[in-house]
Amino acid sequence: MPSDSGLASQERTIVNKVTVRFAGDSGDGMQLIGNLFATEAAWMGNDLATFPDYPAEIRAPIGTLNGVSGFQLQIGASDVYTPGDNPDVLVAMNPAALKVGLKGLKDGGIVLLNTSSLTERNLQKAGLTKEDLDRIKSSYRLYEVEITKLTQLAVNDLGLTPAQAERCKNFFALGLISWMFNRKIEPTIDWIKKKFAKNPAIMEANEKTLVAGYRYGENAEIFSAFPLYDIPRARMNPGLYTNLTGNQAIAYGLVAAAKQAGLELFLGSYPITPASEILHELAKLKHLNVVTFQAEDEIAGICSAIGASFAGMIAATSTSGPGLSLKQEALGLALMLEIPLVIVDVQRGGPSTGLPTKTEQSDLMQAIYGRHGEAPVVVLAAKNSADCFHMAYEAVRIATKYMIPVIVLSDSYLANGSEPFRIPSPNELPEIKVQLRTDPNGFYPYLRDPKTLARPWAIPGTPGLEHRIGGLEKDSLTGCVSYDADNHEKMVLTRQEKIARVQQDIPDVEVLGSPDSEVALVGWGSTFGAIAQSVDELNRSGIPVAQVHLSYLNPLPGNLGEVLKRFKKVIVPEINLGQLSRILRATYLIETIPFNRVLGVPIRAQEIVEFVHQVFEGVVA
Amino acid sequence: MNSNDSTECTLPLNPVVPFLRTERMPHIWCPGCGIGTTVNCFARAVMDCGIPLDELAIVSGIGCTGRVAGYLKLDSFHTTHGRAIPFATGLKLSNPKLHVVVYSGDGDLAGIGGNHFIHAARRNLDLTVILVNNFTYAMTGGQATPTAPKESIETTAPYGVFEEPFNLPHLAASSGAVYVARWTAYHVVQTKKAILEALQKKGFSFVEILAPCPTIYLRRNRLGGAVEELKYYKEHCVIQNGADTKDVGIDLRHQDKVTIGKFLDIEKKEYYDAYQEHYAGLLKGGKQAVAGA
Repeated sequence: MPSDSGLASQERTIVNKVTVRFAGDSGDGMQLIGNLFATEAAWMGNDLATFPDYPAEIRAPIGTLNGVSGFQLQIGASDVYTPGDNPDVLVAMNPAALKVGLKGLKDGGIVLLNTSSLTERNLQKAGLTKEDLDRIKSSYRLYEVEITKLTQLAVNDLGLTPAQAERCKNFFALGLISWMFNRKIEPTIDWIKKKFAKNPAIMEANEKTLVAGYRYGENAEIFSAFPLYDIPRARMNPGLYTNLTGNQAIAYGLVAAAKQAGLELFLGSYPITPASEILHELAKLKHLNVVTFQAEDEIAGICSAIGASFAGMIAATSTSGPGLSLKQEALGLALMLEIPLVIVDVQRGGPSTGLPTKTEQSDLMQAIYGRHGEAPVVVLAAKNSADCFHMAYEAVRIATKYMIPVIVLSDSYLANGSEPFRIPSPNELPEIKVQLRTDPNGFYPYLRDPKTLARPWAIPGTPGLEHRIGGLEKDSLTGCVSYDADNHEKMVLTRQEKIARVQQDIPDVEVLGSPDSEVALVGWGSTFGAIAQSVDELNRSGIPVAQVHLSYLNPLPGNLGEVLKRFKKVIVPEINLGQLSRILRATYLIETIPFNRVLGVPIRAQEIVEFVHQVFEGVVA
Repeated sequence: MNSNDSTECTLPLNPVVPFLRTERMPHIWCPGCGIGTTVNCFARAVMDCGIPLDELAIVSGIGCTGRVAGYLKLDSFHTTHGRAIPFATGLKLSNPKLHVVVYSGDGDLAGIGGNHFIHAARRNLDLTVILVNNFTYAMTGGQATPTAPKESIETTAPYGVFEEPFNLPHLAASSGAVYVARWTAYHVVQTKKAILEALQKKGFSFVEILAPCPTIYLRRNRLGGAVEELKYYKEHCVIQNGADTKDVGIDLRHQDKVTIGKFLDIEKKEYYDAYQEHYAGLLKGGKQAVAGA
């Protein structure tokens, strides 16, 4: 195993941040080594953000541009907001990965190319010629390594089949990259030992390949002049950290909230990309008394959750855009019933089946307005993978306190991306006080708490509290069916008022960046990181801009109108065609400048910086 | 193909190539996947049945099998998840002369689309439904489908499936189908014949094809590769034409056989004919009357 002593003598160039992109065929194990490299960096105290980018198909055709599976991550010694705009390093396992991966690579960036894959057929599939390769050689720092061949050599004596041996090649690449950036490979070796405990030959092969990659860096002629890099530890709050994807964070946030409420968790869901992992993750937690129900369809998913909520469980359903559309009718019922329910929408490229594995923020309108009738619900949005935990938790808190459905918006980028998450202790988390009604004296199903307008949560089987709930309009006190016109208007207004009153329970927005500037960048959801980074860069370069981030989309924070009116220009970057922008215009009667991209990938900080420059230059008004 | 004059060795064109959108190749199915095999059977059945290609439409849902529509050189329709049958229903009722084939997977047709499946069968609508059953939501990441065998490991069932699976032939037959068969990706000749018969059958015809999913299902369950599954079908399938469908449920962990064959082939009034008859007095020269004439 490589030791520190061997490296101490070599000089290291200290870099603050580095962005690496692993690219190969889907099936080459790029997601795996990307995650393992992230773990190595986390282990050494770096801050980080990851972005897996893979095709919708499980095994897209080998060697084709469509089949390229990528994993990008930024690791750094200071606040890492995004997985990086432009990679510094590209690891390309085949020509298609090279072609796709070069897009966006920094000029003069490092390319680590598996030259064993440069067959004529592969080059042809990627549409690359020998001349293209020469051009790449002159524009980038190209390191040509016969990764497949070297892998086979490394495991030569283990008696593996050629196919088995070849499958280890991703670990060679990981070893080499770990060497380049001085990340310790111990966490990866631990992982290999655990993962392949039952298969010693494969375990040994992967470990040997990993070490061979690392050693290759130390010894190979082509790397003799390589300027070794190092990324110092990031300053982070002390505590116990784990690396979580957004989907895992949502799952754990729901569990934590249920625990805090003293109730058990129910998740009724139907498989849908990119939300399925929430169901997978919770299905593993039977020992925490989590009930998961894989429903026969999206509608059954939400309806079973509504039933569970009626019965006194913390109930949730998880889905993506197409599934949210299917759940909307039942969501209206949950609002009518006035029971707590959490709906997680992990947004993806739409409409219809759209781009199932790509990211988009195009469900905001659907979340806020997507139902028949006057049917407001609370809408929250997570800003990064770790925040998914807190927003899922917050959704349960609001849903149970106000007896209403709450939608949490995440997206494909947050769902699959990961970052360090500090595990909070229970006493740091807000209180979730749930009072199931048991006292029959003075019980009316729709008698309201004067402050929150919440009705009592009375579960079936409580003596003396027998009551009916349903989708027909309710009498405002007894909950009996009522067709009375005045009562209907009263109930419509009450439901609206109940949502509005959540505003008293949510924090005011903060102005980040340069609060006294004339320009604000207003965003929601996963663009938080890119906007923060662009504000950072702009302010450093002497262009004062402020950032306003919205975690609460409905109702909006109480001070938002006053805050926005302080700015001359309000720029709203979104991965949609301007949904928040319209809401802000309609709500506060202000001008906004939308900045929209719908490319299926996160907005890059650089794009925002350029757009702001245009606004300042008067090109865009 | 006439190659008498040529001394060059030319490979004969695969006879199903004219039915495929070769420009869309290579396809997205994994090596060893059984779906491609079923497409080959389908293309050969279409070749033999003599239906002009412009009178044949194919409707798929979502998932690996849902991609079939995209690779066939027919009028095809890749719809939303689970709803292939309702879209096909609209297509068929608007143009009753069209032969409409629904081609999708177990998760799509029996899971989210289960309701549509039983109602189309109940109506005895003239559709050919081909269901490729690989026991998992493959493209979505290996979740349990309603056909997942008990005790199998799926991403949503990390401790094994405990729910009872659907017996799909029985579901179709008891809901009102007139033709019901089950074959496997190993039984290619029979599969082709069954699809051919289903295409020629008037009414709701249903062909279930068991097919390996090596990447997701077999690997997760440590059942070997596609070859192992095909060998299993070769050795353990019992052909029992006319078997009572209530006895053909699949329980791979507890009984070492899979019953396959043509289970049902009966005559019953088809939906559109019943519609014509019922409204005979009212239909005067409208689109429906013309189309059905």
